[in-house]
Amino acid sequence: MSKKTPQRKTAQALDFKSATLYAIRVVLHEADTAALINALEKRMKDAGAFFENEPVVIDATRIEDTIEWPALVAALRQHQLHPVGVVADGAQAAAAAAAGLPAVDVGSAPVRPPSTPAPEQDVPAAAVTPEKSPPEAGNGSSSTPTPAEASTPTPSSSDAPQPPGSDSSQLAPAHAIPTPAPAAMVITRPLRSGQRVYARNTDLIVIGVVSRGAEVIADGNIHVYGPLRGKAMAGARGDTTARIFTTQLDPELVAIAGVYRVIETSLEASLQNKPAIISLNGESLQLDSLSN
Amino acid sequence: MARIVVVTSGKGGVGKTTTSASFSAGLAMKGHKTVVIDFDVGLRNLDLIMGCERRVVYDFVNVIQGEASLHQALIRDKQLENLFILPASQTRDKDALTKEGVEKVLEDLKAMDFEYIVCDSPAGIETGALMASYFADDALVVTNPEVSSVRDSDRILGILSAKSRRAERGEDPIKEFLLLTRYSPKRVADGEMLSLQDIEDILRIKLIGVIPESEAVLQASNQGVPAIHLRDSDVAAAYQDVVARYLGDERPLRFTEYAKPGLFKRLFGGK
Repeated sequence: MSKKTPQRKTAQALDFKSATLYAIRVVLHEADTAALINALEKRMKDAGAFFENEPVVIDATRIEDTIEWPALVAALRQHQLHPVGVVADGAQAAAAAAAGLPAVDVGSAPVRPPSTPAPEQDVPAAAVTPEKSPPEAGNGSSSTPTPAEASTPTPSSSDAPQPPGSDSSQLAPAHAIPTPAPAAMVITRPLRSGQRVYARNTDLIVIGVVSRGAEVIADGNIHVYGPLRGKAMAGARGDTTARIFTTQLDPELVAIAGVYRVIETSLEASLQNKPAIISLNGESLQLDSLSN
Repeated sequence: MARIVVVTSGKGGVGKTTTSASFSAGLAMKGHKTVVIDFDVGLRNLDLIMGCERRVVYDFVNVIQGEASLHQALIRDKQLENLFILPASQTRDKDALTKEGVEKVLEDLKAMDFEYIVCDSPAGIETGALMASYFADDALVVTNPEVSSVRDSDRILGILSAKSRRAERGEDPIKEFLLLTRYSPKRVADGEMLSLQDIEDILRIKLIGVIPESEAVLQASNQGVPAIHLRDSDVAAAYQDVVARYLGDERPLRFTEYAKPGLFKRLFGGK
């Protein structure tokens, strides 16, 4: 008995979303294949199973000579390392591409895209699919959550990730709109002494007090709408552009990307218990007042 | 439907047992059938404060382990016929308290038509304290106006919001009430003690009352009588206010303002 299946849009067979990939970057210092393979052997022997089965990005930016890509890739695979891309320029990148390795763009920390809002008119109307897409795409709102973490280009564009709106002209409507990065973690209860919250891969928003002895940690920014009296650590995985915002600054400790400061005595009057923003300026933390 | 109220604090020595005794007596005085349970296994005090230490035959752990029935273990208060005490064991240790055992006792008490079950928590954040708070509907967080007590109360509030049965089941959270004890308006005015506004700002829960520092508390425990029975004392009046507010009657706060005594009083021995 044959069933008449309704026409289905091919878009529903699969979805494009963003992913974060943490990879090992293998930095090449020489082009000589034999030397590279030897060095690889030695490293893997020393490291034991530590690096096995890891995705690998090959950094060839320091090499100008020709690299035998197929041999290198084969050697890496033998050691259970999986090359997923290459960081290289010009001819080097082309040679790698011929061997099947795409050029990728990696930062030293989770990549934060430029914060230009998507112009409203560019968001294709067809992108508004009811249940699946997040509310942001539906409203055409200007605060664009973009696929911040994807370090490999999305199939829809050949450049680094861009706000979905500006991609639209290159896309077939209703297909392949990259899903924005995970929404910020929002906490609406007071955080008490001894409690700890960690927002992985995203920002943290606390509406309420962060008591002394409480800890708020985020890979992205931290916003505390209430007294910040505990410890706040933003950019936990190394994002030096992360910042801490609060409406009432009175912390025990603040840190961004590992650079921390313990606040032992009162801050100056313009900062203590006032709205403030903490950012990382080079190697030191900068505390600025937010009120005018 | 019975209401389970835990009297807890985190910090030791702030007035939990004193409060459990007076609070449960106050509820009984208003006509509600009330039982107060001592969860401090091994270091029981509630029976002393209630004045029934010589009438303890069976205790909470005996009941949990099936060695005695609730009827045998419950002690009826001599002054208030609506008030019952379930004392703690003095000889066992806290591992005798199990969630299932405690749950069964609480269910049996509800079946005996008790309207309020007051759980006197031990200090700390270990088994005894966790058991006392786990099944609670309401919590009186007893705090002294001093820094370590405030921090420990903050910690216990975090535990109440995360580790109670209501939290685990995603039900309405435990209703938390702040009870300030040993409050001395003079020392607050002198800047030696935290004021109630400071504490409210730090802990951010509803204040249910302020019990002033008073010699009456020591007198009451020496007599084996809950402080609320000492009719002429400020402490008794303050506890009556707390009970009234708990039952829904909004009363203004008393004993929070410091009035400097006049010249004569200061000359002739006032404080």
